[in-house]
Amino acid sequence: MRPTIILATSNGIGMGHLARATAIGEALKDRAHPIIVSMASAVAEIPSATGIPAEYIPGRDRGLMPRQKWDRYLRDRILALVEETGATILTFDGVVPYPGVLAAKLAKPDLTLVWIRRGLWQKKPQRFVLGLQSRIMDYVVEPGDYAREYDHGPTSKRKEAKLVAPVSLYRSERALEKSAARKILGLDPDRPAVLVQLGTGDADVNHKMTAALRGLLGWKDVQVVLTKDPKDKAGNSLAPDGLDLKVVRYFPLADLLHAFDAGICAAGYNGVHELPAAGVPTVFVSNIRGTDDQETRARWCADYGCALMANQADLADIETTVRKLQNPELRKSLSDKCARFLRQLAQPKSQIFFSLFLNHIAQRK
Amino acid sequence: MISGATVPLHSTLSILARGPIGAAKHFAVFLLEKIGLSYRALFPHRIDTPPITGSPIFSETTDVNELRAYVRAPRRFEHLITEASERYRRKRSEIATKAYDL
Repeated sequence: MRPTIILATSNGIGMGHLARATAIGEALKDRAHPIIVSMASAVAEIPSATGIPAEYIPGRDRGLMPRQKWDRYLRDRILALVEETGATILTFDGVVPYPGVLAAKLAKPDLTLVWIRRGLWQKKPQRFVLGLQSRIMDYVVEPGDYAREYDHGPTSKRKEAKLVAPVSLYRSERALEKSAARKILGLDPDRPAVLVQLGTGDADVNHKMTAALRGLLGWKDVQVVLTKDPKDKAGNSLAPDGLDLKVVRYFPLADLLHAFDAGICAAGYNGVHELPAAGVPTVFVSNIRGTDDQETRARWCADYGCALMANQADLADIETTVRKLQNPELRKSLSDKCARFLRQLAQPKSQIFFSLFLNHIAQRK
Repeated sequence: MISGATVPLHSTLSILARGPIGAAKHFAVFLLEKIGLSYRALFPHRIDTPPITGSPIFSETTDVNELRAYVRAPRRFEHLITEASERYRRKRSEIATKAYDL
């Protein structure tokens, strides 16, 4: 009998947690019944795109209830879903396992709790409770990171985690070739296309978006593809005049990455394990918020020649570095390096390992 | 009845009934919750939208557009997996009632 496995994720910054859960869920489909529960609004994309059942749980930051009540609400939601589906394993992908997740484990001790904890942490206050949180887990699994050799953060020396290869939604055998991908996105097949995946919101983040887009000015006939409208909270455009912008929604976008001649992206776990893996010449602009050490991840990519890194604190450098992407020889050189170093690492062996591992512990119960 | 959902976190008898390791883990979770609450009290999430009140919408839709709209709407939304049992729906309604003080 195939076990039911609940893959829970926090909200977080970007799509990293949810993308990993989706990749693992896809690999589990043949061996188990995966269910994704998430506080990320992008969970809305999961059921129709993947066929994996999913539930949205409003995060504590939505302010729907007093903070003190939220952990009990989360615990009760998890326990209700466990009882409804007969799930035997709960994985949690997030930096901080919420007390509500841990309380669900305590209320139902036979539920196996697995913490999927990526590395490359900055030294933030969360590190002080790492030991305590890890002890409550049945297993801790660390999805590998291309930049792991540069990881000197709080999780790098810990012993409890089982390290696996990087987890990525990009799979070369599933990704569409350029013309088919462009057709789906509605892009001109003969003009260059650049993917921009940078956040918007606070003023400094908005300025980085504007600087990056400025770097694309002058690129003849370029089509600029964004995953969200480049506007500030007041609705003012962050894009300079003269660019042909297109906002797209597609999940998983990893399947369509061959549509792009270049990318500009935050150096989150997803971006680094998808764009270079697909051979897309990329400029990484780190987002320094949260625990994720994006600066280090971006530096590793730049040191190995797989991508360019812009100084996130210097708007002029962001513009100048992005402008370099207009050079076709540089783009070819970056693509070649990606092919040589990274492509084989992004194959779904890690997802399969996860799948086998979770299935194995389910059978032991 | 879902046992865990009805056991109060701070019932002394239920904690002691779990044995020394269970009680220690319970204390650890209790401690982590208090640390989390203290941290968030010192560094609160920035709330730039008015508080959301009222009865929640329950839906088990898988339609991406509908789901996006529900998730982003300025109202309470309770999402259920498809083909949920009547018992699960009732349980979810109880959980929402308790959480939202309805």
